[in-house]
Amino acid sequence: MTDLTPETPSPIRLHKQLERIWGTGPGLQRLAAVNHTVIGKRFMITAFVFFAIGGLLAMLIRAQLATPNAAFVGPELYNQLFSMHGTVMMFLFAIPMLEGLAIYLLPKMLGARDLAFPRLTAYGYWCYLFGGTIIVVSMLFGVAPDSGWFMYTPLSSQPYTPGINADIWLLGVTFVEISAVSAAIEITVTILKLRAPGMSLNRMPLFAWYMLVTALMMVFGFPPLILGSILLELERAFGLPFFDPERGGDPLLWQHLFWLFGHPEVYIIFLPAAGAISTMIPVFAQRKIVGYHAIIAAIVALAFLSFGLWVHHMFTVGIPHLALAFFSAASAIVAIPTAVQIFAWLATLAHGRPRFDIPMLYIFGFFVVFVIGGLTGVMLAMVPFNQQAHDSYFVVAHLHYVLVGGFVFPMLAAVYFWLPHITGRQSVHRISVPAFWLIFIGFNLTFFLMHLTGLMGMPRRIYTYPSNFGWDWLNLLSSVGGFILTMGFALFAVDLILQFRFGRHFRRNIWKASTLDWAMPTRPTSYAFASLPKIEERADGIDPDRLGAELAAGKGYLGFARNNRMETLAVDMTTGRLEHLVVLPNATYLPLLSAGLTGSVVLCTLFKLYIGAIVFAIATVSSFFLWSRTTGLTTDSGPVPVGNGEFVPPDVEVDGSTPWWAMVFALSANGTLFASLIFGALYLWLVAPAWPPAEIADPGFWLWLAPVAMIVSSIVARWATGINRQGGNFAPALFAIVIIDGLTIVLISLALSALPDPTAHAHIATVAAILGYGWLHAAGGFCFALNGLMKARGGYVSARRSLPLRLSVLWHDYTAVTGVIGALLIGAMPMLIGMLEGVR
Amino acid sequence: MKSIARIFSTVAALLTLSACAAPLSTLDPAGPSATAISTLWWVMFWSSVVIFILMMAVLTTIWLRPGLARTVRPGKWIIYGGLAVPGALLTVLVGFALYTGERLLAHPIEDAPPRISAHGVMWQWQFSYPELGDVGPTRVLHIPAGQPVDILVTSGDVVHSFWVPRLAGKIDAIPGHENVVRIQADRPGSYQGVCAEFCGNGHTRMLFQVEAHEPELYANAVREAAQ
Amino acid sequence: MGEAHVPANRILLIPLGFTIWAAAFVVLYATNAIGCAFEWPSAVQRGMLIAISLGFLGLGGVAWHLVHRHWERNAKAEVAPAPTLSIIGIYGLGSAFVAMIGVAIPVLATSMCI
Repeated sequence: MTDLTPETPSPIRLHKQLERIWGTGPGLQRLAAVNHTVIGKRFMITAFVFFAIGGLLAMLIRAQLATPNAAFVGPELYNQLFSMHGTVMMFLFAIPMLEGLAIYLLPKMLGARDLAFPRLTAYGYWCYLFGGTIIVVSMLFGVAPDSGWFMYTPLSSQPYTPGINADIWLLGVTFVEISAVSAAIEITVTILKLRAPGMSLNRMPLFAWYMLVTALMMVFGFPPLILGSILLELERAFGLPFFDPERGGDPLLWQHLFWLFGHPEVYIIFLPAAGAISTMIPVFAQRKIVGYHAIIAAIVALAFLSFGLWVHHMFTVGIPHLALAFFSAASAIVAIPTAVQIFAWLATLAHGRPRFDIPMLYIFGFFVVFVIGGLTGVMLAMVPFNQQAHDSYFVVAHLHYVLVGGFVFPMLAAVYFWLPHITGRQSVHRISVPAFWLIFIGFNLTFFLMHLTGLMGMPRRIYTYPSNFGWDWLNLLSSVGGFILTMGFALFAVDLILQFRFGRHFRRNIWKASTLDWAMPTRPTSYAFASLPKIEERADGIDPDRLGAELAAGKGYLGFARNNRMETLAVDMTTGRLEHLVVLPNATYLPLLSAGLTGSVVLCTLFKLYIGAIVFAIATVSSFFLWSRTTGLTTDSGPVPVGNGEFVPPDVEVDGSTPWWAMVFALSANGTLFASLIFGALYLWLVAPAWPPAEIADPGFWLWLAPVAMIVSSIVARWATGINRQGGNFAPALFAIVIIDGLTIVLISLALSALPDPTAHAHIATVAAILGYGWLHAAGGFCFALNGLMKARGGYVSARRSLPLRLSVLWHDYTAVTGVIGALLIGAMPMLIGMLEGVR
Repeated sequence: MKSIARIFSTVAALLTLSACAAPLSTLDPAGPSATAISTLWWVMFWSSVVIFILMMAVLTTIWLRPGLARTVRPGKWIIYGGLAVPGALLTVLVGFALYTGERLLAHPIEDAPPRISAHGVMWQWQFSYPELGDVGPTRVLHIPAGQPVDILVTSGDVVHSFWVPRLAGKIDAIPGHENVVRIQADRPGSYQGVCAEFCGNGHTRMLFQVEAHEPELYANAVREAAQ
Repeated sequence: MGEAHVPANRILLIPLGFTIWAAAFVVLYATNAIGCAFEWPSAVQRGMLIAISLGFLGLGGVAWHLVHRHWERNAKAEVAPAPTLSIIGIYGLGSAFVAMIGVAIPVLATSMCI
């Protein structure tokens, strides 16, 4: 046991010591930054740059559509413009923007010094930047994606889009999505574990609840699209016919996978914005939020319901009316939890003493725009009306009302609210108000009229129109509105620059808010809190002015710098009781290296240099070994002092540490991907044309040996952990795992080689995909066992410090379970295909 | 209040006026299916106008007459505004919409309607008439007026969507699948159709005409057009 | 200090209601798809769909009853956040029950395969 609690130095000394540990170095060392404040800002700034690019594309679209028979751009270019506008706004602006906000705010609101996995934050940022750059740069070469942002097959398949346009979308977006999923896992674990001591779940600020639900939705919502993109890329590159109706695939499978992601996505975008509103409204109403519990129940309901709406994007594909009715009812029901939130906000304002400021102006704009978007959303949920309005400008109007109303307006409010936190300066109010009115009027002029344009029959995605359809004046006014909107945003940008440049400094807590993020100096220091608070009431009702001064003086937990280590605290998930000490990794270039290597895999795949892609993939995995190499402690330390007279063990010595939970959520995302694959296989069997197949995939008895080997490997992994707990030598067991996993790889390879040509029919292709999934997981198990050996050699494993072994157990258990399910499905396929006799 | 009413009547007049002239307008229905949907639309539109005005009135009251807004207890706001009122409205609406939707389906009926095939390929529609001895294809869709017609919609390449807004809602043409939409033109005449699902560079120009004939002239018109 | 423990799996009370809803939704949708693909007689399919709806409604009702009873008996004795989790769980179970009714009603009359 380390002896005594280190002494708390004077506030200035403490600041200097902590800054030296947590700060990001100057010059090129900025590339090594892992700090959440730095990366959060980078996410948001990059997202705003992409927002500007997306807005520019929208201007070009409006310029083309302003008059009938316009010859400004032709269809080839126009198709790229709207595909890129949608892709950029959804994947490169909205998602990263909300991630950036969460990354910046969450540790500060929860009373932690950083997120749970700082290097992962940085890796996610670089992936986002590289992926986004690949997508945007493609425009400069005229090969941008041009099949629409939802990439319907077969239009996006090889025969109809032979160039690399579609590959850029599939690979670029998947790259960005991987970054989003890793951020989601990190946010989930951070909210559940890295809170200030005493912050039980019932004391968590609503923003954290919103982000927890959002992050979990991302964990379960993104994998279907990632799988869909992988399958489509496999079809485009290697001819595996998952979506080709002539060879047993089905274009509708793509639509299901896409919208299974796509609808939750809308709520993933809306919820963080609603979280920001739930944080701002109490501040300006000068009263605690009304209906804390009702709001939490509402967002959970919203999260689940949003996964049961996806077919309302597919009401015209010929699905039976009863099935449509399920989705129609769910789409109507989802309005209720939204209404609960809106009325909770209204009630908060009604029972408070509302005071006015610029953020409130944007919240007012949000109310107007979002209510209209919600009303048209209910209209579109009605099957017959949807069959008229679907794919018309009515939908374009609706989606902009929902996304701009539900995301952009709240985000603009949030910018005015939290920018003083970021810059330490007050806003210069003079042009904020005209900027708002330009944005508000421009937006409504552009999009309100589009409802009517749609009802008058204008379909989406046409690059021009004749003048006899009665759309001329509507389109002209929409274009005028679009340019007013742009001027508003330009003024907004000027306003921000003025604030950066001329805003007056303020001391603390400019809005008289009562959340923890204001209990710190603004601009925030790299370590956020000089010492960590103990929370004794709900964390949206604290007094930041009193608490902030105490924390800066080092009177909370960890009011000292120790061993040059980045330390923060983890708590019990539910009660918020102080549980263990978390030692975070220091600044490093490794995330940049790994992201660069991952980007190289993407680029090689894009240009069909598959050997290069494999080499870089191996290099990427190897770089993750470097991440792992020096993480952890080489000695058992036992409980260490953390201030306030308390002692807790370090993270490496507890069972439920953050990496373990991250693994649980990563496997949940992975499991969703696997479930989507199984769904795809069964869906094609049940619905796709050109079934039953001419030839049945029979991988032989190798198929049954592989899951047996996986189960054995999982048992040995548990056995290794057991030996370690008793202090025995577990290295032989790890060697055994390496050998068994290697054997499993060989077995699955044999099974794959026994298959008939997988390009012949989707049945064989899906069997190959399931086998490929097992192959990759056996390879993953191999790496986890190797990692265990490496960590043991370095002295990072002991009876108490067993994390590498327990991670390996989780992985092997997961592999065994999915392996058995996959083998059973493959084994059952001949029987299932037999059932089709007579009906198909 | 008077001025608000005047604005409404002007808006309503404008909406109806502008809707009348347009060849692709869903608000100018020319068949039972499109009429039913346009009724649904107007019901939803006027309810939404009322709801929106009420919401804005609540918001304004909170700001201008805080005392009045405070007389309703916080829990009541959520229970009435969030749960009860929207719950009741939505139940009625979903019921009405599903009932409307049921009536529009291509149910088997005693007088089996003529079946015409609409085949979408990049970037045109081909219509053929199996029941008239497989004549066709024609580039213009010919239908008998005043009776329901079932259109069998298929695709030869990518996803298209068959849409004649004045007659009925749209249905997608998906390769490998066959979808049916029941349309009816009440009176003989010419109606405009479009491809509603993005299908590549020629998407914009994938328009088509529907000619509705007196039933007794229909078969001849098709044969003439097919030559 | 150590005895005031609320296990992490108590958090699962929050999504419990809508997990049942989601299961009901998926099973109904899948049964409908399978029934149409294999051309089950319509009375058989409708009967199965109604039985499934009632089964899940029953499950939701029982879960609501159990959680509510637990909350009534233990709310005062339990340490935070256990009572809060129960309250949100009860809200969730209640609204999921209503949502299940909303999704199940069309089963009674809507056309199943056209």
